[in-house]
Amino acid sequence: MTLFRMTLSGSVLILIVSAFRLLFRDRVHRSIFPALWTLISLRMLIPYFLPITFSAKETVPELLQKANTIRTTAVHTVSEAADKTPPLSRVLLMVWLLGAVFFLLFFIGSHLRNCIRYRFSVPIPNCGGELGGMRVRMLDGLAGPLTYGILRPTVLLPATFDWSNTTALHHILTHESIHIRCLDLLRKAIMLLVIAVHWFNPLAWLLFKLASQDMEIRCDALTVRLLGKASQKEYARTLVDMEQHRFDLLQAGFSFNRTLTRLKALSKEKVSTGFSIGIAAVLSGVFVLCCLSPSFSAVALPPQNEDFPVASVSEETVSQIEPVIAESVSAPAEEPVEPTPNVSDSPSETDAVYSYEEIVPTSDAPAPNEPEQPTEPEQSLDDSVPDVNIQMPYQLPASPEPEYYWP
Amino acid sequence: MRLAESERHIMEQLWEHGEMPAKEIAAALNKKIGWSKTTTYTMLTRCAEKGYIHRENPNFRCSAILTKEEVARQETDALIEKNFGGCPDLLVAALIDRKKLSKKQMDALWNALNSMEDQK
Repeated sequence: MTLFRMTLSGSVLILIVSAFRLLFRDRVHRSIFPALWTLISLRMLIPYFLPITFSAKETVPELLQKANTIRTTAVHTVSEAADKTPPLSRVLLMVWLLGAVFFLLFFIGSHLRNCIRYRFSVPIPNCGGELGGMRVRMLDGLAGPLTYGILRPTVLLPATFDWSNTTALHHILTHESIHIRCLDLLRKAIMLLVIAVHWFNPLAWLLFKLASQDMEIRCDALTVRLLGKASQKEYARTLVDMEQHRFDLLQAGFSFNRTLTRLKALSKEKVSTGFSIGIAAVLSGVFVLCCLSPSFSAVALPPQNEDFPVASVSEETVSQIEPVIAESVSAPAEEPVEPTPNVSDSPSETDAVYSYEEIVPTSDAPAPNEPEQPTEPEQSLDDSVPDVNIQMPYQLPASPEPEYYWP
Repeated sequence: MRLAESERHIMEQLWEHGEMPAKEIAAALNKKIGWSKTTTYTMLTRCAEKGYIHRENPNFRCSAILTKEEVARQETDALIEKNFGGCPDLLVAALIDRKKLSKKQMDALWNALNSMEDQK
């Protein structure tokens, strides 16, 4: 199941980045970890992999055709999967769906409830509605400054704010404007979506918590850089005074520990550029690997069950197919094209088949609806000499094996 | 009592223009603060519940019950209580001390004090 695979690969990524964060957070550039968390959350949401294989014979038209057929076969597979899933998987699917819908509704609902509260905001005194390009308003009953709104960001200040305290105002507005510039609200929304989808995985929740903290720390660092090194102490003062409440999504209240962490992080920054680049390179490499085809990303998964064979590249496949291709190219007359009686013959053989992604055994594929293909090379792990019928120039079957699907 | 900022906007509208139908209040506040009609109506309901305004059913005409002077008095009392330990003379002294009063204002204050003494 792709969801399982996504959760697993996402969890591995989260653990790796968390380990790096534990060790190196204060030594790398502050913007690195928020970027990594965003990448992880995107990875956990987008189910498609990049189809990278070992095949050097693959040409661009074939790749395009394959990309086109992926979408058409998705529908096939969903219906197939629905028929073939055993009852237990069905139950799990329903439970997951219920949980996902529940959390999605919960997040959206709480956001809308907050938005209703924000409608009672009024403009700040002695000023127009905009300060430095963002909307700034004040709200009764607010305990601390907060930012909301992805499309039209607005900063809300408490009505009890001391407007004569221009330093604090300057600090707060700088900080909030950086949040807006870095699209932190959008990132948080994506992570909430990840939680809604992967609600059963506690690492997804950990991702949200760590990423929120990292985004705050990054904004603090950028604010101090903007305000000037000299004002770092005053900024720390403002932080403590303000009891900052951040964004409205999952607004956890002010907690002493969090502010303490931010203050400590402010002063502990000791960035070495070379180190940053090294860490970033290593982690980017890990990411790229996890974006590639399932043969890379499914690290320790057991072989797929009968219903959904997985295409992955194995050495023996490569070594077995290449000589055959070479053979058939040299002597096409000796390999007459046969209609494929053996397609339906041995379902058990083809179930355990590993093959190239573009050479597809279609015994379990939606064969009844499709015309039989003359090019049905089969690969069986049992035989040392493969039983292959390849017609050159070979072409992709009209409906390759469905591989990418969304449960 | 302390008027919240949102309530204050509504009350000020009514203090300036007297009795108004709710629709006009909503239009005016939309122009001034950017509130939607629903928001203004909700706020009007809340003020009515707290007893600040009175809302008549035909046409939803609203009139203020809480007067401006009443609010000023209560907030001044709170200010004196908090900052001057409940002694209003300290507030006046503070005003004089800061030299914020013009000559005319000081004369008026002097006359008021004298007339108060005379009354007593």
